[in-house]
Amino acid sequence: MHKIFTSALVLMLTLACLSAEAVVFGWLKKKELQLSPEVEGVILLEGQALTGIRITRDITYGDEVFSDHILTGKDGRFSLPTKVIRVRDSMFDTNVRQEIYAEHEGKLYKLWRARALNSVDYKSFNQLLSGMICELTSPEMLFDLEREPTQPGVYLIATSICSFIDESPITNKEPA
Amino acid sequence: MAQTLSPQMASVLANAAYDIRKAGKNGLYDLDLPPTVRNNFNFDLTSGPIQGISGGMLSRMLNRRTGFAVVGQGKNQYQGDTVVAIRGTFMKLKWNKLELRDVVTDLHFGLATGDNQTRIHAGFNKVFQSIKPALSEQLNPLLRANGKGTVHCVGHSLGGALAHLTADWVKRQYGNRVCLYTFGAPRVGLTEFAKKTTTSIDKHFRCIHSSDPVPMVPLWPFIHAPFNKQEFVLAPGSMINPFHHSMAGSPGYINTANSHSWQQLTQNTRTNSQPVVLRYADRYRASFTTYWALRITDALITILKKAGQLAAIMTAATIGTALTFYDLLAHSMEQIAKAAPEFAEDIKGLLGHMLVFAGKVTTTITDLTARFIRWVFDVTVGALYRAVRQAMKNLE
Repeated sequence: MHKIFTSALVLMLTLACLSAEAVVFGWLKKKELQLSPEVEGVILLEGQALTGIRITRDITYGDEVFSDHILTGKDGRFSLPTKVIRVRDSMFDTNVRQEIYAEHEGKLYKLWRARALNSVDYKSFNQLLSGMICELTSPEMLFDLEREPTQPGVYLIATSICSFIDESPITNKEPA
Repeated sequence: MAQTLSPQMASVLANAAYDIRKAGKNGLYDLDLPPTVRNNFNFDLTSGPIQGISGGMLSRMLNRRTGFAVVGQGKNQYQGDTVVAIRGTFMKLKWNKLELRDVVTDLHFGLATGDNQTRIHAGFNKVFQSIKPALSEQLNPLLRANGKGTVHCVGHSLGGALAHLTADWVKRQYGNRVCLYTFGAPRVGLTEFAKKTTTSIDKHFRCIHSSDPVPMVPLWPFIHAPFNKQEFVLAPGSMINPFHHSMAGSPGYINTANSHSWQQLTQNTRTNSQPVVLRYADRYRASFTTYWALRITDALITILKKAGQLAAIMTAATIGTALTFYDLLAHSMEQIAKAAPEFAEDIKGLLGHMLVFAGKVTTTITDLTARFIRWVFDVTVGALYRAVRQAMKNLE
């Protein structure tokens, strides 16, 4: 009887240890991570739409930089597709940064900069990026944005010369 | 009035320091900081952040310097103060990754004599020495003429270990009041280092998550500072979980430290060692948890103390490497076991718990030879380091 009890105990402990190992090893699977939503915007200079302006989007994920660009259309509009990569979970943090620039007459204009650790897929960022009105003569502003309830310590901040179609996520605006 | 940073300010600074590794497309460095920090500190990044070499020979050859620290000048409420925020581990770069592996997970640790003449982890010392020249270049103009302001040193993970060395160095170099804030930082040095920096650093807020494995390494004889004082346990948990090391994950130090008052956070006053005797018959209670990692260390120290061998072992630790240290420890244990049946029982109990902790539940203990004891050490230490190492492996 005693022997059976001991074997059962040993088995239980082995299983407990295995589940501990699963915590450690069970996350080798890759998952999808959105680095940028679809970006829609318009480039203006003193209120006039600018055609053929080069828009560059650089997304830095750790040491990798994903870069793409597009020229604005006749109405000054541009759009960039959603960018998704596959990554493994890690216990170490990776810096993620979104930067969008417009180039006009040899000068770089910051349309967008935001960053966070591990993911930038936040509602506030995505909402603003979905409708940007970028007047190149506007000064660069810093925006404090609504935080995600699940990540209360992650302060979401963006800098940009643009205004946005839906500014509801903006809680504070000041010169950068 | 002497100030401290709030937990929220310290954690957002540790977080923001991750973004200074590389300049933006416009060639500029930016720090996105919430109003509590940007209204109280100015960060002049026009000449870039403080750079360091975190890799080995290869990165030196390639001259791959990366941003490591930023220095901010206090204003308003923090007028006269200075903040130094140091970036944590960065894993993607091949040569950096090697370095980090050596630093955080190398069980065959090497020791070096640090700036304050005590024995510390050789890897941390190396990285710190590489950032020190740039650090003093930035701090000299701020602190040479200002001995009054407080210097706040902040960091997560490896950044925490570097912030610890920075704080101690700033104290000796400039004499200012220094405060240290670390999140998930590993142990930096042996007992003398822990004791010395407990005295030199005016306020030390060491924050951990119970299940984060990084603050558990390197193992004893490395000791946490502040010595025999409180630590801040921002999240409870028993099972060791590598994800809980993350700054911005779940729970994420940035979330668990999101408070404006240190009093609101749980403090756990833990003396660095408590007398513990483990009985062999009770060994199945052990599990792969923080609690047992600490209890096993305490039991080991208790045996050495009882047998009058602790001082000799601690002295030996300051000279050797991990390899020779564990050999020596195993031989010493064999001798202790032979000296008295009571000691043999204690050692059997300790080894039994170590094996169950490491998942070797079916191994029974029949002999107490140095060779067998050494093997148990390897198995136990290996289990803990594997938890950390495995996490890194999947980044390759």
